[in-house]
Amino acid sequence: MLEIKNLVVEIGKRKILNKINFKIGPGEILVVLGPSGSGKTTLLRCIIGLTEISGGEILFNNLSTNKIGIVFQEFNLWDNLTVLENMILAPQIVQKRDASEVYENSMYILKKVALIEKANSYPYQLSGGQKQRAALARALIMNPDLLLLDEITSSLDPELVASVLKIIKQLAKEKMAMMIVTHNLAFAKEIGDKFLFIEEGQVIEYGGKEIFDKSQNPRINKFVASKIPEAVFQGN
Amino acid sequence: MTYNWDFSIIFAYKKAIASGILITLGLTFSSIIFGSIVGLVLCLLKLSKNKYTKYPAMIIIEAFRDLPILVLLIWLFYTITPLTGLNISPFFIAVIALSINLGAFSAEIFRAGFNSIHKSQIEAAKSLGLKKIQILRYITLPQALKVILPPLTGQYIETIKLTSVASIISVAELLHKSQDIISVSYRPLEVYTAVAIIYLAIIIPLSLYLQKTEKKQNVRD
Repeated sequence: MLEIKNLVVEIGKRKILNKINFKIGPGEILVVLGPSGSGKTTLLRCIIGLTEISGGEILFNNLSTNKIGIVFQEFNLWDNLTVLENMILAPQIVQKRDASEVYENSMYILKKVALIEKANSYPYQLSGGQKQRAALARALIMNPDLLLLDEITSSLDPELVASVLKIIKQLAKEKMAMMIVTHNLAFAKEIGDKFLFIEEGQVIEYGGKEIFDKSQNPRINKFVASKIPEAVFQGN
Repeated sequence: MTYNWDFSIIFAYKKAIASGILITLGLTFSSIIFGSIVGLVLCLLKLSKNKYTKYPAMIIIEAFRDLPILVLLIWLFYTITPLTGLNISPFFIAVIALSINLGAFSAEIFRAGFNSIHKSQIEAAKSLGLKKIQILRYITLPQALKVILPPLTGQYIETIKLTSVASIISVAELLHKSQDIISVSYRPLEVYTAVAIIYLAIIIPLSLYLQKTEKKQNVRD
């Protein structure tokens, strides 16, 4: 569905991403791991077209670029619109969908993310967890074939994390293809089909769950070891 | 020696005063509409990445912010016909001068408004496939307006006050009409007092509205 070939991003003389390769198939979940500043967010931004690539290819096989949804780390809800308005704007003016269909679908999704009572609230009236779920709802209303999630729990209080991750797990059950950047290793292992470790803009490991095996790459072991205190995940 | 105030003179010339008020309001509204458009265009040109639009816009904004409105008005009055070959009425010359002046000042107000919007708001819109013009209409402009409106209202009030300079090129606005009345009634004190009161009556409600919106904005922030 999505194939990244030898992707390079340079800003000035600095290589932010260097020869990245991976694939995501329908219904597949790719988890992107790596230390801060390793280029994970830049990778997502390239796929969504916000960062220009300096080399390589991004191939969308049977995947329209407007069928890729993204949820940003900092939510990025539009401050001048209510939660519901945030959701219905793009489906109506970009996808040109019928207003009543979009409204009904929005309500359905808001119920799913437990935010229905906040439909007419503005972002500044929401808590962090509510904002994150609203941002997720805004991505879902576009009926994406691929959903990109950028450290969506990192700015949330621990008690809110579980509620957001629960929704992601539900989406995984529904076979939504996702590319998830996260620091939550326990969650990553539970949900991921494939894993991509990036460090300093380079892929140091790419594969299935077997890459967590202790006998593998020492850098991954170091990363995994450093994550143990954070790896407490209570969601079901 | 005491002066005998006689305000009955104002009522005797109420029709002339009313027509002066109408011309003042006409000048104000036309200048506000054209000046805001000029300001928005100059601001967008200045914000663009294209150096062929960015730098000329910067120079125009700076020049017309620094040029006294009276100099601009008189310059246009004497040069616009020889330069363009068009016979433009003093009223429209005044509208042009006031619009340029308002445009130069409001361009900076618009720019501050647009700059106040976080880049992420625009990126979210781009990521959902909105086009530039749609982003402007639905996201950036409504958000910027909240920041823009209070100082812009202030600039509009300034424009009302500046319309009085049009009297110098014999536009029959309020101040010019009052001078006409004085020349036949010899009652400058009453007439100028009345003119001052009329200006205040127009401007004070706007000023109060401005203060109210600013307070509301502070509460939300």
